[in-house]
Amino acid sequence: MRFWQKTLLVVLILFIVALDASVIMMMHKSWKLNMDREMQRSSNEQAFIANNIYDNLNSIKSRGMTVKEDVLFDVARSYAEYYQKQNIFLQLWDRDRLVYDGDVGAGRQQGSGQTHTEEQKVHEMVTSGELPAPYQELKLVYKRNIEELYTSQKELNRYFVYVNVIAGPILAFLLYVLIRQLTRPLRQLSKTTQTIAGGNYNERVALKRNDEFGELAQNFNRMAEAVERHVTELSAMAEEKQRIVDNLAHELRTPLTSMQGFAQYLNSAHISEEERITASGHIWSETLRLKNLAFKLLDLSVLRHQSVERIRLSVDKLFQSVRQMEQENLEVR
Amino acid sequence: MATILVVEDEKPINDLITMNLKLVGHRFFKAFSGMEVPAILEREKIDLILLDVMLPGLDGFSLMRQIRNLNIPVIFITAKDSLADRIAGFELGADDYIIKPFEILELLARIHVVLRRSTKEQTAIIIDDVEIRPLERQVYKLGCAVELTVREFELLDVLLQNRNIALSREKLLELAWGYDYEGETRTVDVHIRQLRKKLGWEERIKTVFKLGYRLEMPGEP
Repeated sequence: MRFWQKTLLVVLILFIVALDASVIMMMHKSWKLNMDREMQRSSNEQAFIANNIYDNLNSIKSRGMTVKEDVLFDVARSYAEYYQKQNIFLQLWDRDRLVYDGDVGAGRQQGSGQTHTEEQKVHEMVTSGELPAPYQELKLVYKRNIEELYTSQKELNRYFVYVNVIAGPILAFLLYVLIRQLTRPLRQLSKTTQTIAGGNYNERVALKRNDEFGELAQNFNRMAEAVERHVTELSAMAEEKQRIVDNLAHELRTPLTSMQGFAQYLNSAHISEEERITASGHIWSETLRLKNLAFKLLDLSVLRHQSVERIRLSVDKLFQSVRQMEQENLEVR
Repeated sequence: MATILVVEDEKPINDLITMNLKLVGHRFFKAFSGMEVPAILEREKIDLILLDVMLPGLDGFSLMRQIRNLNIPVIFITAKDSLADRIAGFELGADDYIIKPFEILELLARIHVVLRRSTKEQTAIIIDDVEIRPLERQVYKLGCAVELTVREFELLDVLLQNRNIALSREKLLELAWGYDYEGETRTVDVHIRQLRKKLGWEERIKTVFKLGYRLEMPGEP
């Protein structure tokens, strides 16, 4: 797997997991807060209604009427009908007897005296509590539909999936562009390395940056320069050696040809004394030439292994000696 | 025989070639640089040029370009034996290309081949009372035709080309009848004896101690 593919995959997974986890946690927290708020509201309202009923019952009592079952029923009904509009259902119990039931699909509860709240399967919130004394035997059950809360939560969940489906590919694309952009210097370096490996030693990386890649490119170029210099030096040296060998071959061939030829000439030709002297003279001088050549080669190889000794020399004297050496040759021409 | 111009800056080589040319009866001119060549060509009638490639001043290839329209056969002599150089030489119209170090017999053989190709009629060679007509492959002694076998004539031809040079029996075998000829060196002795007898050349064809045979002839024609 390529580096950019790995990076892309890992970053994408990490990002999506982190994002989703935090979103899920936030949603969970918000759900909890909503739920708490709803519960608080339910118990508040239940207490409020219970108090109102209590007030009513008190005032009925103060008017001298006895609180009978039908009175309780009327009072409970007047509240229940009012709250029904808000999706709130009320039940009034007298001990274990149901005095008023405002809930159509009723049949469950319940409290053992103390105020308590619980959630039901149909997503209702039920709160029940006793009325203040002296009506302790009366119990008010408050039931509120919180389907709305669930629906909004579901809506949120769906929205979360949508966002994931849309944001995932967009994120992947943006990451792709970003990572390709970031790894471009690597590809450039790789390409240049290949070119140099192919023998094109004067190739360089054109990368002007101040980051690690720029530094790498700079060092790489420095290395390539060193390699190129060495290669050039080596090939120049090889060329020089080849030239020396070529020249040597030529320098050797000429005297060898004449020595061989004159020896054969002396050996097999029908010649006069004068020609014999010329031929043997040539063999003699060519032998000397070869000897000089051999010594010069030896000097050269010695020079290569030793440092050159420098001495002061008059240029005039140098020219003079050259002139002396070459005068004879010049006169011959 | 022919007139040959030797262009070679190395004096020993130039001497070697010209001395051998003189031996086998050619006339020759020496040149030590390319500059001298045009003047000599104007002055003299030259049949063949032996041209060194590496010359001071004007090199052999450049000189060749200047003189190629004169249609004088040229054999290049060079120490450069690279294929590229050889091709360059032949493309310039060289007739042959010989590489140093060369054997003088090889050079003479090549000269002979080039001269035979270029000169349409070959002049008869007269030695004492013997007349040799190479074109007709006929030999006359005192005006009368001498009956020579093909082998004998080929041997005579080789001796004439390399006159004044001693040739070993093996060399004679090779030069006269080719590498493939399956014969013994004694065959050479037999044919030499026949030639001596038929041409009356007991003195001309010398037996050289430990070497072989040599056709000896007086110096310059």
